[in-house]
Amino acid sequence: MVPTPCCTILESISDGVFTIDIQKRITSFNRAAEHITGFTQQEAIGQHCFDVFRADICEHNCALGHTLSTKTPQINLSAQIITKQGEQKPISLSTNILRNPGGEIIGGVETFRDLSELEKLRRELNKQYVKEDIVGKHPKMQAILSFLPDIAESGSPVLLQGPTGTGKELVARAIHNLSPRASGPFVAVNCAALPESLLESELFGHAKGAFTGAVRDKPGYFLAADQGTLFLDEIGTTSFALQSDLLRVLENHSFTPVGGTKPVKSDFRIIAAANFELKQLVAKGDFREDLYYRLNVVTLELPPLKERREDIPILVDQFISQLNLQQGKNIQGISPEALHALMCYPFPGNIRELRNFIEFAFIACKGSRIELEHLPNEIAQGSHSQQPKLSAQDLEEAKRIQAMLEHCRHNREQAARALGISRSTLWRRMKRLGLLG
Amino acid sequence: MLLHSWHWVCFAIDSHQNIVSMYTQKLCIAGAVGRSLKILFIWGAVMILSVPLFGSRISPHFGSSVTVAVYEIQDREIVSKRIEHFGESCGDQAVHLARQIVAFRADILVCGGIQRQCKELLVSKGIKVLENCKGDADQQVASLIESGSLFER
Repeated sequence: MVPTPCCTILESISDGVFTIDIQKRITSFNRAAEHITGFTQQEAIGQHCFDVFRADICEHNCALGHTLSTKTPQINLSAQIITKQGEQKPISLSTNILRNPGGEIIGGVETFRDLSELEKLRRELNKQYVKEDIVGKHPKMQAILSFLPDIAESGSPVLLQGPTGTGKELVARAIHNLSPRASGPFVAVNCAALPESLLESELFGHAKGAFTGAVRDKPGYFLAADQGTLFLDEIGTTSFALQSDLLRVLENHSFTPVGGTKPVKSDFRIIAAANFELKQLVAKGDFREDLYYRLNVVTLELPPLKERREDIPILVDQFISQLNLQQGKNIQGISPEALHALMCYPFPGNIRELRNFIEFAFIACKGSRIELEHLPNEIAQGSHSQQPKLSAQDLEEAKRIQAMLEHCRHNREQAARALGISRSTLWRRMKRLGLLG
Repeated sequence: MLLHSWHWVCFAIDSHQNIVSMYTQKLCIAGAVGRSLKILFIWGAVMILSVPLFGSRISPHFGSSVTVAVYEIQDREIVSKRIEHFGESCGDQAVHLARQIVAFRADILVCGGIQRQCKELLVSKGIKVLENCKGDADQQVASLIESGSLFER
């Protein structure tokens, strides 16, 4: 059967469109609707619209129901749907009634647009990260991700430890956004960025006339974080004197602004971060033990990127999609050679450094795929000289093969037989483990 | 097939504690072969199954519902059903609902659409999640019991 022009138009647009009858059963479902919801046309047609569309407004504020009962269209409503695959997507939707040629109402139509990419960009710009922004298949990352909602709900102090660029602030923001304090402020302070004297007045605020230039009362970060979360980055760099002030505030959530006389109360949650293990600083006497134990209620160790190389491809994809949105480009992916080069690089600057490399490649790349030559020289050159780091299991196997080769006086035939594998398998394994040269 | 109605059960297991063969007085219980030994503890035990509701139907959007049907199932039969009402949360309503389901020790959640993070949270607490279900809650639970899919590992 030849499709009508109307059907062809509906199938070719990028907005999802479906129609329902008076009983709210789906009568048509276009290709974009399939793409956005994850349900096929066959699965959707004949079903109740709420069982397929699955929006947060379906149960209490159904847009189509409202349109059918009031006979008025709804324009650009916001909602969140859950796709068949369990992905929550923000959408905007509009509804209208459908009439037959006689003017009788026969159902309704809903058009909807996927705003996921725009929402990601908005979150990126406003730094309102959610758990889904933290990606990683590495077991340590998986453990952190599964634990995150519990941590967020608890309200306990959190200590984030990990080298620079491992995403401590991103995790802190995700905890805040998952917590009951999500509607409150998230205040981030880098303790290393401010000189000692200034940090004190910035944290606690100051009264008018407290020091030269204090021309008015100024609330500090502790008060700014009232009903929200205060993120203290690089807390290990603070002085002993400030640490004792911090301890006092954490104990009773009350403090006196610099130059002030009256104590001020603030209801905040503290998330602290350090680039190195605070315990070591405690052992050296550079960090107060009591403050450490006050902060160390929940500790999350974020692994450096070199320990979670399997996450590099996922992170690269994430950065490419973010930068495409930010810069209006349409880069489709990365070549295997370029990805291999990234996998070989040690990443002392961790995820932040990886993102910088991809951002650099976006400047250099004029085509649709990031190639090796689009990456900074240090990566392109390094890829020829470095082998990928071997896992503990690979190292164990390499040792076993090497020992057997030595035992067999480097006769590969004998070594393969002794290892219970063929000569070609031994050669392949030696090549993979870097034992050939 | 009720375990407590049998006078004796004889079974053999392999090194992974999976059942290799199982017999009662007259029957070879073929359905048990290949299953974990743990299945014996499921038979006869009370299993708690929860279903977020939209009226009497399964709620299509996890987190929208403030009402959950809680079924107690024993020996493949519903022995009790109650309705729990949850208040609104000031945080993420879906995570709040997931926590409530964990709190009353549900073994299984039957739901429509569920956010991945909530599913992960529930699975990490040992709760089996049967998602993308739809229709009347009572009928769906009965049909899941009938099909035996609730009891699969």
